[in-house]
This record gives sequence, C-alpha cells and structure tokens, in this order.
Amino acid sequence: MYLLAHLKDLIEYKELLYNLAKKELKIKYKNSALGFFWSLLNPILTMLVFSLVFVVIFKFKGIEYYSIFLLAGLLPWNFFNASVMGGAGSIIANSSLVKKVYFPRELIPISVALASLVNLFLELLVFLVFIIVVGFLSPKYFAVFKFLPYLVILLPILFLFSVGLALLVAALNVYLRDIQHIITILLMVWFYASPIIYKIDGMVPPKLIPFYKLNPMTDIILSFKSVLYWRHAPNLNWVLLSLFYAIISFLIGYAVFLRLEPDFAEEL
Amino acid sequence: MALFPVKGRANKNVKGTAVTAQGIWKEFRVYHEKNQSIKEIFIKRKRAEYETFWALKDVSFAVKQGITFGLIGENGSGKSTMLKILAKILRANQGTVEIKGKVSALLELGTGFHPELTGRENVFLNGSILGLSRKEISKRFNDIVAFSELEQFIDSPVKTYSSGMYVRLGFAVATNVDPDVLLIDEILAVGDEAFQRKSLDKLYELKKQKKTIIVVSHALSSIAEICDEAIWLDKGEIKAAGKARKVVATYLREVNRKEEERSDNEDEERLATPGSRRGSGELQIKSVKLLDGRGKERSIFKTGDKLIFRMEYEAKQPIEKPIFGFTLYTRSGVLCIGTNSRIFGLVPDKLSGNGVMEYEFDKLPLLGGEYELTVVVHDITGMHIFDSHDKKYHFRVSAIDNSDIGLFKTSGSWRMS
Repeated sequence: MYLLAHLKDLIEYKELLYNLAKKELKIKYKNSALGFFWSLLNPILTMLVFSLVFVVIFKFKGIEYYSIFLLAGLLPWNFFNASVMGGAGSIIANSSLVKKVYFPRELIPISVALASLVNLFLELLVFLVFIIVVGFLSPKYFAVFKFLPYLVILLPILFLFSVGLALLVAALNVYLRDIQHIITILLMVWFYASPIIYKIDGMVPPKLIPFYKLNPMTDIILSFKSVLYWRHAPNLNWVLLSLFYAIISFLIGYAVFLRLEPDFAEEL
Repeated sequence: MALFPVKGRANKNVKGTAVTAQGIWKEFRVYHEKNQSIKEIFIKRKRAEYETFWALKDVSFAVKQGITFGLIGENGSGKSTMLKILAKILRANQGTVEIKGKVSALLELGTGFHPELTGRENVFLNGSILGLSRKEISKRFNDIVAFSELEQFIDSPVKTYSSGMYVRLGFAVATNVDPDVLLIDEILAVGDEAFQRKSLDKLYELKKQKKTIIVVSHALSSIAEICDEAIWLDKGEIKAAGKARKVVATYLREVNRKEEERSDNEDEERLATPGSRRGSGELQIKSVKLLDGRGKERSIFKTGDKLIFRMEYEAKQPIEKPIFGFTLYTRSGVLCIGTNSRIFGLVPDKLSGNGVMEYEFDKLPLLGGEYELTVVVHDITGMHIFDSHDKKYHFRVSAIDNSDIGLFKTSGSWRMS
C-alpha cells in the first residue's frame, strides 16, 4: 500500500520525469561530435567483434545469421546494463539537485532507465532495418515483424526488472561508493553467464544448465530471442517467470530505496 | 533566561496555518573519518567513528497563512537546518512538519541547478520539480529571464555562471513559480546591491499577494523590516519568538553583550603587545607626527583643537595610485573613525621618492580619553598593503569641564520654541 501511494505520486510528476530523462540524454551526448550515433555504434561494433570471433576465428557454424542471433539478446542486455550502471551513480551525479530541492528521488534512477529505453527503441529501429536487409537474402526473417507485438509484453517486464535493480544499487551506492565498481564486474560476469552470445541447447554442458534457471536474465533474454531471432511466440513459462522476477526486483529495489532516500542529502 | 514564553507547543489548530513544525529534533553525526568503502568496513569491522550533536532540540512553531516569518540566530544555531527540514531535504529524527500548498525553496546559494544544463533547461527542469507543466513554465519564462537579467547567458551551461548569476536565476525561478509557501536562506547576502533591492521588492510583492514566506538571514535589519514574526534559535533551541522587531531587538542585545565580553578579553591581550608593523614595503611610511595648529608635535590635545597627522613617506619605486588611510581606536578597542584619501577624493596617479601626506582635523571631534592611531598605505583595491603601522601611535584627549559624554562632540544645537 505504501508503495502504491508512492507510485500514484509518480504519475503527478510525469512532467519532471520527462524532463529528467531528456536531461540524461542531453548530458550523455553533450560535447560529443557524433552524439546520438554513439549509442547505435556501440551495439553494431559489439556485434561485429563477436561475429568476427565466433564466425571467422572459431568457425562456428551452429547458428544461422549469428549477427541477428546476437543482437536479439544484446539489445535488451545493453538496456539492462545501462539502466543499472547509470542508476548506480545517478544519485551522486545529481547531488546538486538532491541537496537543494525536494522531489521523489526515485525519479532519478527511473529517468536514467527511461533514457536508456529511448536508446533501446532507436537500436531496435536499426535492428529492424537490418532484418529487412537480411530478409531479401532469406525471406523467412521477415516473419520477425509478425512477432514484434510480443515486445509490448516483454519490454515492460525488462523495464521493471532493470528499474528494480537500478533503484537498489542507486540507493546503496550513496552509502557505499564501492557498489559502482562492484556492479561493473558483476555485470560483466552476468553478461557471459546469460545466453546472449551463445545458446543453451547444444552448447552449454548439461551439468551447468540448472544454474541458468537461477539467472533471472535467462528467461528475459530467451524470450527476446524467441521473438527477434527464432520468430515464434516466447515460451509462456519464461514470460511468467520473468514477470515474477521483475516484480520481485521492483518491490525489493523500491522498498530499499524508499527506506534510504530521506537521508540522501545528508550523506552526499 | 526566558525572554518570551515559548515553551508551549505550537497550536496546531490555528485557522489558516500554512506551516506547522511540531517538536522537531535533528541529530547530526560528525564523522572523524568518513568511510564509505567496503574495504574499510571489512578490515576495521566497524562503521566509522563519529560524534553526534543535536542541531535542533524540540523546536515548535506555527506560521500563519500570508505572513512573513524570520529565523534568526548565530552560525550553527540550526536555522538553516530547520529550513532544510521544512523543505524536505533533511529528515527530522523526531517531530512533524506540515505545510499546506506548494513549497518553493531557495537554500544557500541558489536552487538545485544541474551544472551541465543551460540556464533555460534548468528553468524548465526546476519548474517541473515544483510541479509546473511545460506550458505554465513557458508562460513565466520571459518574466524569469527578465528578472534575473541573464538574457545573454540563458543558453549557456550554468556551470559557467558566477555565483551572483546563479543566485539571481535561482531567486527568479523560486519566486516566479507561484508558490504558496516560499522558503529562502540568506538570499539577501549575495548579489549586488541593486539586485538585493530588487529581490526585497519582489518579496514585498509576494507578501502583498498574501504568500507565506519563511526567511533565514543574517541581515537583521531586513528581517526586522520585512518579517511580521520571527523566532530566534540558539544552539538548536528557540530562545525568543514573537513580533519580528521585538525578537530582533532581543537578539541584538544579546549579541552586543557577548561582543563586549569578547572585546574585554581581547583588550587585556592587546595591551600587552605593542603596535606592530606590516606591509610589502615598496612604499614606506617613514615617520608619523601628531601636530597641533602651530605645527608643534604633541601627545595631548583638547576637544575642538586643530590636529594634523603628518606622514612622511618614501617610495622605493614609482607607485601607482596609492591610498593613505588611518583608523582611530579607543583604548578598549572601539573603532571611532576610519577613513582614507580615496574616500576624500585624493588619488595621486603616481608617487615616487620622498614626500609628505597630511590629514588635518580642523576641530578635533573626539571627547576625552586615550586613543590609538593606525596609519596605512595600500593600493587602490585595498588588497595590497604597502605599509601599515597598527596602533603604533597614542595620544590623549584631555577631558574638559562641562563636556558631552561619549566619544564625539555633537555639532547639533538646542532650540526652544
């Protein structure tokens, strides 16, 4: 109930949320000549590097159109990564506001996630252009468009999960600045522990598969891959499990944040 | 020392109360060494050591709708902390705050601006923080810019602003967003005089519109002038509350008393040390003579006598625009007169070699007592001191019969009609 009352407040602050997210994007690309294109360049370069390693060097042939396979998992991961990393330092980065004016502090990490969401949308647009190009070589990939509406369910789940974790680390980082550094390392491990650059079936040793069930990102990534690469509806179990993880993440993150929030100004 | 009865709780049910603070306690921790890294926590296996002190101890007050309310007190008395609690920036350990309506706060040096954003972007950001829609802010935007006088700079990042510009924009935003309650900390201490005047006018305007305003300030005269009511905080406790003029007067009396005690103590120390000399030395005051009307050196004068301070100087190199000045103190350290040649309008373009500078009292206004003289020569800014003889010269003004009392002879006259 306590959380619900707060959520209602957030709706009243939608104008501010919009301004804060806009500010995040502006500051991110200020003083950079290519500006917004950097956010597109990043996944494209990552894709090229991994394609080179897997397809050219390892001569890996098990996955058709590896680049699409990779991007289908990389884009949601990048969003998650940016939201959590950005969230971790967000309160400190905005200390000039936090120490001077009152507004619900949770708007800060949420606005960071919103800014990342804008990036994700742009990346998805580029991804779809890529799908069209590939579609001319192999028309079956046009079917991706048929399954796109599933993103309406998957994106909110991904957003909720990421925001929950972002709120948690944002609040903890005010008290313990090491969190930011720990997060960087954890996220790297987490990236390789999630089926983004590889698939589970036929690649992961069977002994390790149970561990993947413990990783909340597995279900989310697999759901995105179903839609964006395999061209079929995501497994209902994955979706429900992701939703469950997302709600847990959000509730814990938000509860911890609200508990620590009132003393931010004093700690900064 | 109870000055006004303030112990009773603020009455919560006063009709039209805009702000209520009830039994506010606030504790601060002073860390000896702030540890915020995991390594230290694990290695030392404890949180950092700290001491606590109470910045506010059971502070209660109520501010009626539409009045202007002042918080006064020395540095560290808790007044700024109180304002931050009202603004919801800090959380009180105990007690409740209730505010009716939209709050706009201007805490120490400007509102929350993001340094990387331009003035324009910050205005919109701040407006939305205070709950205004884009349209509402656009409507007020021109007023805000005009008031802040930052037309040329509104599209530069605020990190390039001077502190004065920062405060001007902050004040313009905070006062133009139509708040119900306005909280202001020390705004009148910054900005040039013209802007201070303008800010005060704006406050009066808001006051006329029956906005509730809470001000923290050192500028006691402006508190007494603009505030209807005030409280005086001393070490976190309310020492006086009531009509602003009365509270300020009470506070001033206390400050003066303390000041006197302090200067008495300093006196004893000072008398033990003879006058000192300092300065960079490019221009030196070689000698100082106290002369009477006939050019004779003396150390005792009478009120109304002619008195000349004659300073012989030597410039080791050409000095541009030097300023000569002097100050007169009583033995107990009260500053009687301080003036210089720039105030008088005499600023030589360049000085070199030896020469003489004189100041002449046609009629010495000082009444009987012992006086100490400091002479100084510095550059036009007053920042660079060439030579200063601090309280090196003494003279006495002998008390004459049937005289005024105090420091100065008045030039006024009595009349009967």
